[in-house]
This record gives sequence, structure tokens and C-alpha cells, in this order.
Amino acid sequence: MSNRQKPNASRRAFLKYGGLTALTIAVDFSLPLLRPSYSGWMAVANADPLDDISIPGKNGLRILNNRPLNAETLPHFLDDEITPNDRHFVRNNGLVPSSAHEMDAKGWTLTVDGEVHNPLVLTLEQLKRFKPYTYSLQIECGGNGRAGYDPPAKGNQWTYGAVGCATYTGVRMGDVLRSAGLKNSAVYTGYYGNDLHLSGDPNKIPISRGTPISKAMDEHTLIAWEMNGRPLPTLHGFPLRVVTPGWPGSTSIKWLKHITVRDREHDGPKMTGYSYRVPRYPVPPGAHVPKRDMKIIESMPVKSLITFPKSRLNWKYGKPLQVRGHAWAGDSSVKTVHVSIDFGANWGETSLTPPANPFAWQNWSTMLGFPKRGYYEIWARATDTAGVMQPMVVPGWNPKGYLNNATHRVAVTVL
Amino acid sequence: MGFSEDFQYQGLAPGMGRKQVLENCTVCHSTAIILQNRMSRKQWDQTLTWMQKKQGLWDLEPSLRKAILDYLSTHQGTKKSSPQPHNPLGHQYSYRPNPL
Repeated sequence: MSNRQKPNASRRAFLKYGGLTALTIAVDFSLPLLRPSYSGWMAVANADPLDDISIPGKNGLRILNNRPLNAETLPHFLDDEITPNDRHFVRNNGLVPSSAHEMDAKGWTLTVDGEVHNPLVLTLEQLKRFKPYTYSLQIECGGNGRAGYDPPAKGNQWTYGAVGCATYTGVRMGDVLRSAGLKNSAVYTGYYGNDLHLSGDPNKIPISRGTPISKAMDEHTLIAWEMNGRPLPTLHGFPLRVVTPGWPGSTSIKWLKHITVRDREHDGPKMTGYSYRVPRYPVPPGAHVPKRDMKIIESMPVKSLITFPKSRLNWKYGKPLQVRGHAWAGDSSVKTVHVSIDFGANWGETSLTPPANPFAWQNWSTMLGFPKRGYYEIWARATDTAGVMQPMVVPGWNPKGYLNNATHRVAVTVL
Repeated sequence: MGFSEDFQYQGLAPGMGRKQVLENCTVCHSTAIILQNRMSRKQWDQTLTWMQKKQGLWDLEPSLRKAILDYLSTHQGTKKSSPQPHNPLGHQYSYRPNPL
């Protein structure tokens, strides 16, 4: 794998420009003054960038794209039961707003309008008067695993690590919506942040997604201001974000400014067409699927990760190996996790913890012995409470490459 | 590829149309998303149209559009001779997934 967390010092020094470090410039580009262009210094700062960039506040992430910033966590760096802020993946559709770069929440308000009896404009102080809750909640990008599809699906080629489970503190979305008084016509939410469109056009919105009212009213859907006991980091939505656990991460809008309650399915940018949608029926790989046959992804599917050992481990023959990881299942929870060391011929059940709260991922572990010296793969397969299992091969191809929940595999050579 | 070329061309392979891709595509986004994707000419064409309709990409003269599509379908196409995507699936085991 890559070695991105150890940038070459001389090249990094070369990237310095003016009073700003190139690291900040190269990973995102929000300052209108520094609009990117082909000629001049931007071409320098942005050149073959990914190998030499590190993201401030992050550690062990693989950068997929620097403008907009998208980065995933290598599986063995997701070993913690609760994902620390510096290990949580980042998926941005636009540019990080300057208010988040500066961690400046002065004058921040949250507007709630649309199909409500009493539209609200809340300051942060007013919002925090609602009863706060703290939950561990898993967020997975709808496109996690996209790189496994063939023919390739368009978009960031996420492999395994666009998932994390952090602890968030905030108020229930449901409490805020109830206080605004939902009309009978309320059907869907639409969330807006203050991130900037890549084109720099202030009238364009990079992304605005939402969920059916029933999901917004779930008591684990939060308007959060803390992540793991700290104010939301710059890249995770400072000062406010939605957390819609178990659904594609894109419904957990960051830098939240505005909630509008709709009388129909929300139609903001990245709600329609092929975005975060899959075919209503199974299709062969590479098929053209008409837009009208696409449906919005709701709950993410059952899935697991092996976070220890790191793949390509050499292990001493005769010594037991503890294998561990996490498992999650969107709106549901995980009943069992099994592992195999013989390509799925035999499976053994692991010990699995219950979730800390609904929508927290669960931790599994087991001790393995290897019968002979040689090459092994450890496969992990989770089963949700409805008995639905992870597939061992890449599941149904879809035009945008969502929902790849195939079993994770790591290689071990026993010597 | 030399050190300075790396910087100047942001990782794009040499070829006809590279300059046009840099001048028109990297105004909004970096080359990383181009290098990660492999698509047919038709899919690249549809992607340009989508960016024009939804994402603020400007009009492209037919000859300019052709130059961009020539480059993308040659260097980021679906043919076997195309370079691998920038971030290929990093499966870390010896048996390829689903070989048959």
C-alpha cells in the first residue's frame, strides 16, 4: 500500500508558498483569492500531489482526491473500537468553507423551514438548549468498495476504508423538527451546508440531501456539534452536522446551515439521476439503466472489516493468532461474524459484542490456529439479525458502484 | 517522468490533448479524479455534458471537445492498453478476487 503518511521532506518544503503552507493549499481550495488555474503557481502546488500530501489533523489516510478532498482509512488503522478523529475518512463534494477552516462559529444560525408550522432560526446557543445526547454512530460512504466493480464505476475509487464509528454529541433531529411543528404534508428533509461549489459559483450548491421524515425522526439521527468529545473538526462539519447513521454518509450533511422540510422526495443536488441510487432490479455488469429505474439508497447493507492483522502478515507456525475487526448492518445490527481460513469451505463463529447503542458498529474477535505452514487468507463474513449475509464475491454491479459489501480478506503466510 | 514534469502536468501522461485537459478540467477539480477513472469515449462525453449541465463547465468548441475526448479515451479509456487507474483496488492478497 501507499506510504502517504511519510511525505518526502524536500518536496514538501518545495511546496511552500507565501505565508500559507502548501499542505493546506494542496488538499483543499476554498479561498477565492487562490482560485486554481492551470498556469502559474497553482500548477506547481497541485502537481502529482497525492503521494506527498498529508492532511492536517489526519493520520493513516489514503488520499483519493485533493480537490475536493476525499480520503479513506487503511483497514488496519480502523482497529480502534471508536474511530478517533484523526482516523475517520473524509468525503467532500465541495470545498471546505472558510468558517470551518478558521473554526469560527460566530453568528452561526440554523434555519428550519418548509412544511412546518413555526419556522425556526436557531443560534448555536439556542440549539444547545434542546436535550443533548451522545451516541457512537457508524457512517459509511455509499461508494465504499466502488473500486471492486468491473467495469469500473465512475467516481472516487474507494476500497475498504470509507467507514468509521465515532462518538457524536448533539440534539435529536426529531426534537428540533417537532419544535418547529411538522405539518401533515411533511414527507422528506432537505439539508444544506455552507460548503462551496467546486466551480466557485456562489449560487451553486455542491450537495443537498435528506431522508424520509421517519428516518429524520429516529432518535439516533442527530444534529451534532461534537465528535469524540471535541468540537467537530474542520473536515467533519464544524460547527454543526447531521448524523444519519446507517445510511449513505452523504445524508449526514456537514457544515449544516439549513433544514427544509419537503412535501415530496427532496430533489437537491445529488438526490436525483444516478447519484446515491441503484437499479430497482439486478442488472448485468456495464448495463445502461434508465434513470426512471433507479431508486434512492436507504439503509446500507451488512458488512465487516478485518482490522487486525494487517494483510501480508508473516506468522510463526504453532502460535495462535488473534484476529479482530468490526461489523455493522445499516439500520439493523449484526447477529454473527464468521471467519474462514480455507476460502470459505469451513467457517468458525467469532465472539461479537453487542452495539454500544443502536447504529454503533460491533467488535468481533477470535483466536485462529493454522494446521500447516503455508499461505492463508482470512475471510470475515457478517450476518445481520434478519439472517442476511455478506456476499463472498462483489455483489450486484450498478452504474455508480455503490453498496459493495463483499467479504474483506487478508493474507497471512505461516512460516 | 521527471520531477518538474510531474508538477507541471499533475500526473497526466504525455499525449495530444493533455494541455487542453489541464486548461479546462482542472479549473474546478484536480487531476486525481481523472486518473482514478477509466471510461469509454461515450462515457467521457456524457461526463462532460453532465459537468456542463450541472457543474458549471463552460461551452467547449467542437475541436476543443474532440481534443479533450481524444486524450481521455486514449489515456483513461477502457482498453487493456490503458494505464491502470491512479488508485487501483489495493487488494492485499495473492488470489485475485473472482478470477472466473
